[in-house]
Amino acid sequence: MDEHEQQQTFDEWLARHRGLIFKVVRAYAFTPHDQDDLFQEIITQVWNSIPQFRGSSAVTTWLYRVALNTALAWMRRERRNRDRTQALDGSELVLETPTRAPSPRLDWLYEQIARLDHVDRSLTLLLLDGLSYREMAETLGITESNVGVKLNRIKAHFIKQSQENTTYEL
Amino acid sequence: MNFEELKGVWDSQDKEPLYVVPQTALHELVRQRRDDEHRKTAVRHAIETIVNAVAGLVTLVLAGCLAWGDPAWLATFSWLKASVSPWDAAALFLAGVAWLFCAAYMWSARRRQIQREENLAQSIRGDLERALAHVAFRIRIARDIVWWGLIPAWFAAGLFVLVLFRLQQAPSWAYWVIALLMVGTFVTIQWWQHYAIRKFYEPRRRELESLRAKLTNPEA
Repeated sequence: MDEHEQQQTFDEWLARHRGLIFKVVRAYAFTPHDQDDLFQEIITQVWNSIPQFRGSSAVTTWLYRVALNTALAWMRRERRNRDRTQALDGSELVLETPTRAPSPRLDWLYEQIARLDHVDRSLTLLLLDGLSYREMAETLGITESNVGVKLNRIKAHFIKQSQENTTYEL
Repeated sequence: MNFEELKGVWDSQDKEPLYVVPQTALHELVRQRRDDEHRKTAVRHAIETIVNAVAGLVTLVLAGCLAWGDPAWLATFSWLKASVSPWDAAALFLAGVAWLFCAAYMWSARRRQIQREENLAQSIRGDLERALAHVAFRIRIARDIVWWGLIPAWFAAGLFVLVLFRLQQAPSWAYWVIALLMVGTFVTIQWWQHYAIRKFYEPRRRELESLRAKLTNPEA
């Protein structure tokens, strides 16, 4: 694959699926600087992954795999570099947050997702974006029955939290 | 809310993007970031390897000059105060080989690491396994570097200095100063490697193992 083809694929994937990357960014990074850093890391890894994509899975599954792997690796690294990262908070950011109507329910959902551990957070994103059990199992590298058990627990947790919480117009 | 309602809340964000990204900046961004990563790796790689390789080559050339150089020509060097023996050349030759061995070891260790990092993991579990293998590799390197990286270089530097001091007829205290410096460096690096294992690598390995357990255990 030459660089031109790689660039075309990259543009096409980002045009269609950038929302997926934004969701991972918002679920794993919480300050504007961290979100920007994680976004840059993910798109760099997406670019690097293009020559390895053989079409054996859907593009969304592939992108989730790359984005979640990158986010988990970024979190492990970011924790060690927290002091350095905080010192860079004044630098210019690539990601811009548009002015949008407030969505307390969505904010609440992201807040709940952020409280989960890394593994459950990944599974929740895949679940909410409608990936099949097989796709989730492939992305995480675990069995479908393991996915099923975990998802039942996560769903029950979210429903319980939404019933207990009334401050977000739930 | 039931789960379908939660899904509806989640899907609502697809109508309006969470962020805006200037499309034209993306290619430049990816290019810069990749170049930066490659440059950093290349510089680290180059420094570790080239310093040892250059030291090795210079020492071998010096050994060659002492072994086969015209005695009249060697006599023109004012710093050569003692007569050159075959043992001086042999010691320098040994030091040069040891330095080149260190360069080759550093180069191959770095290549193996780069190759591992270039292969994309096929799943999150695969990525975790790779990260664990990487930490194990760092721990092994931190332990082995004393034997395969530090001691040969230390031995080479020792021989080099010893031969130069003998040829210059340096006073005995100079030998003691150098011996103390070398022992001090050796002990400091040894201590640092053990500290790095205890402080950074072992906690990281435990964290990764706990994440893997969490991933593979359905009830976790």
